[in-house]
Amino acid sequence: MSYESDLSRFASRVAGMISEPPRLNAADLPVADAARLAIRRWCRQVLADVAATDMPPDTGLANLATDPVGTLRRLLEVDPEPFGEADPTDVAFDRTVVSDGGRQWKTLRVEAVLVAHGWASATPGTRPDGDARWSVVADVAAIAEAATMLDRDLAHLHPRAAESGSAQHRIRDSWEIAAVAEHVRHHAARGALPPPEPLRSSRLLPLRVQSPEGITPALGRLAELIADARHLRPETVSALAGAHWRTMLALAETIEARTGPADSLAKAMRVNAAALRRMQPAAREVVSIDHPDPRPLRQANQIRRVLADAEQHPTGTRTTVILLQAVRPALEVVPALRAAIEKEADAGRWYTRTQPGSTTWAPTNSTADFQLLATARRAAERTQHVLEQLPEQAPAVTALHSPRAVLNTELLNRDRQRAGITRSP
Amino acid sequence: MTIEIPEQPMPPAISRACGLLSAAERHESDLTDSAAVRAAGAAGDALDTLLDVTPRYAPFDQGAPPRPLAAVEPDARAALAQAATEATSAEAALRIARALRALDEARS
Repeated sequence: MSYESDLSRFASRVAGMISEPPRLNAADLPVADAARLAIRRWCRQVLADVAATDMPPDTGLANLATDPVGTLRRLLEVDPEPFGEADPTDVAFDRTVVSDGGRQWKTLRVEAVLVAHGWASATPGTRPDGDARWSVVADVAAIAEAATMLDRDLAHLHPRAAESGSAQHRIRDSWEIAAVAEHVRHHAARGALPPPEPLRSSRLLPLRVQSPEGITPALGRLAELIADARHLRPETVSALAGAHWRTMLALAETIEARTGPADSLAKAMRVNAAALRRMQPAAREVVSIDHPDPRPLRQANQIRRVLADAEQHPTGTRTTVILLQAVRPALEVVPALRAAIEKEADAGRWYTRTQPGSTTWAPTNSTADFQLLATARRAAERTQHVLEQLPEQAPAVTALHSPRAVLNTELLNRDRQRAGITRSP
Repeated sequence: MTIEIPEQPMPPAISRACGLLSAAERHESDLTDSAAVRAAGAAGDALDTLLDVTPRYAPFDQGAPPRPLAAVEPDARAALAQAATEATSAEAALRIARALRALDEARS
C-alpha cells in the first residue's frame, strides 16, 4: 500500500510542477539534477523488473515500431545530462536550497527515492504479472514523459546551463524520451511483454512506516524478513522479542480502548507479550560468532517508532480501527520467530555452554534443548491458539490515482499544442 | 566444534545490581497487567545494557526470588550509583547511565 500511495503522491507533485513550472535559482540546479537522476533510475529499475527484454542496439528511434519498450529502456539507460556543475550522485539530501523552486525539486527527489525504495521493497509475489505489467509500463512511460517536460522547463529557465554537456543527450532528455514514452503509453493496452526475470528474495527490504496505516503491512513484512534472514544472533532475537512484546501490549491497549477492559483478546495479547518477553533473558544463554542480518530489526524499529508515537498521543477512532487490523499480523510474527530460532539451532550457528559456568561453548543442533528454544515454542503455541480464534479480515482498500490518471493527456500535451491553426474552408 | 569465550569477573556493585534486576525481570505476578509486564521488561533492558561488555562477564548469581521492580529499584539504583563511582572508563560510566535511563523509562 505504501508504494502505491507514494507513487500517487509523487505523480501529483510532478503534475503540479508541470502546471506551474517552479522558479529555480541556478544555485539549486544540482538539487534538480539529483531529482532527475532519481526519477530516471526508478523508471529503468521498474522497466527492467517488469519488461526485461534484451535491449535493442543503440540505434536511436529506429526500433520504435517493433520494440517500443526496449527502445524506451535503451533511452532511459543513460543518466540525464546535468544542468549544474556538481555530480548529481554527490548531492546531499540535506543540501540547503535558496529558492522556492529548489525546495520543490528537493521534495521531488525525496519522493522519487521513496517510490524507488517502495518498489524495491515489494515481495516478488506482489509484483504485477501477465497483462497487468502493461499498467506498470504505462505508468513509467507517463512519468518518463512528464520528466522530459520538467527538463524542457529547466532548459527554458536556464538556457546557458542547457548549452553545457552533450547536445545529443539534451535532445534525448527533452524530446526523444518524450516521443518514445508517449508511443509506449498509447500502445500499453495491447501486445504481450516477455516474461520477467524472477526477482531475487534478497531484495526483500524493510518497509518504511510513517503512520499507523503502515503498521499492518510492516508487521507482515517483519515476519517475512525474519523467515528470510540469513542469520539472526541471539541478541538480535532478544531485541526483536523486546520490540515485539511492546507492540503486542500497545495493540492490547488499543483493543481495550475500543471494547472495554474485560476483552478476552486484549488479555490474550498481554499474556502473549509476557511469553515473548521471557525470550529476552533466555537469549543471554546463547551466543553466535556470525554476522546478523540487520533487516528484521530495522523493520521492528520502524514499527516501534510509529507505535510509540501513537501511544503518546491520543488516537482517534480511525487510528484505532487501523491498529485493530494489525492484531493478526502481529501475532503471526511469533511463529516466524520460533521457526527462525529452530533454523538457527539446526544450523549449528548458535552456541550454548557445555556446562554451567564453563567458558567452553558447543554448537546447538536439531535435538538441542535450551531455554530460548523452549520459550519460543511455548510463546508460539500460545499465539497459535489465539490466531485460531481470530476471524479472517479483509484487507483495507484505499482509492489511489495512478500516474496515468494524474498525468493525463491534456497535461502531457502542454508543449505540443499549436495555437492559430484553423481548418481549411 | 567447541569454542572458548573469554570472560571477565563482574565488579561487586554491578553484580549486586544485576542480581536485583534479574529478580525484577523474573517477577510475573499478573500477566494481564501491562504495567507489570513493562516493569519486568525495563529491568531486563537495564540488565542487557549492563551485560553488554567485551569480554563478557562471568555468570552472576540469579538465585534471588522474583520481586517487583518497585521493591528492588532503590537498592539497584544505589548499587549502580556505587558502580558509577568505581567505573574505570568512560565507556563503563556511560553503560551504567544507560541502564539507569532504562529504569527511568519504566516510570514514564
